[in-house]
Amino acid sequence: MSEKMKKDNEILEKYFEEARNSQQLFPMEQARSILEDHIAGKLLHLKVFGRN
Amino acid sequence: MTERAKKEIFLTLLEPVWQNLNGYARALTGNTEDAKDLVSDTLLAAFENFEKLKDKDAFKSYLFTIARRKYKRNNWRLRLFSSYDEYPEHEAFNFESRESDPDIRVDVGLLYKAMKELPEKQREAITLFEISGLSLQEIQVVQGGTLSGVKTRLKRAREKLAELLREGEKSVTVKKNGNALKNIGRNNKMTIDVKAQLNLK
Repeated sequence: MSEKMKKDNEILEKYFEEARNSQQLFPMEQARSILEDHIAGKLLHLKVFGRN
Repeated sequence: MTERAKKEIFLTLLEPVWQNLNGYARALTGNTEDAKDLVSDTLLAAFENFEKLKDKDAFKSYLFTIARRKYKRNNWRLRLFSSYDEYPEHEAFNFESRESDPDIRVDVGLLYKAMKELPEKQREAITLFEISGLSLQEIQVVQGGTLSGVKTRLKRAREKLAELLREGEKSVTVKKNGNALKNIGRNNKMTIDVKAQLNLK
């Protein structure tokens, strides 16, 4: 591996590492709550209209 | 299977890749609100079609394939129906971040800005590989084409990104040094100016 490639890899690794560790949009609990709302909506629809 | 049982199995599979999906959405869309929408849309579509997924080991590819399709569809609509003014450039790459270190926030902003310069398929491939942690084979499933095509895309993307980031680092260093000389004694001014330059909150 050339010296330039090694340097490139070091630069990229630093940035990717920071990006991987930096932030998340919303926590896992929010995924649960989105699905629960979705299921509740479907059940309500079923109750009111009797079909999907 | 009841909806609630399906939900529990789905969430168990989702948890290890949740952060990866968020990173992917953020890198593709370039702003927090669109990324949130993409994650929610993907989540619901993946849940609705979950019973069709026979091999649960392929959940990761399944999820990212849906995210990619949703993004492409939304992006197409956006280009077709919105004017430039509705989606101003200054809002792009303006992420809400829990990261308290301003240097890291600046670096992450630089990375995403540089990634925006890549051709779409290269940007996708490098995001899936480096940020979302998909294997080459999984990326092949998501993007289609051959394995060597994926490898070539990644190689080119890495070369281009390294070049862009080197340039970006130089300009940030110049900016930092210039402001440091001008603003000695003013707390955090240097960081604020660099962040403003990168449109970071």
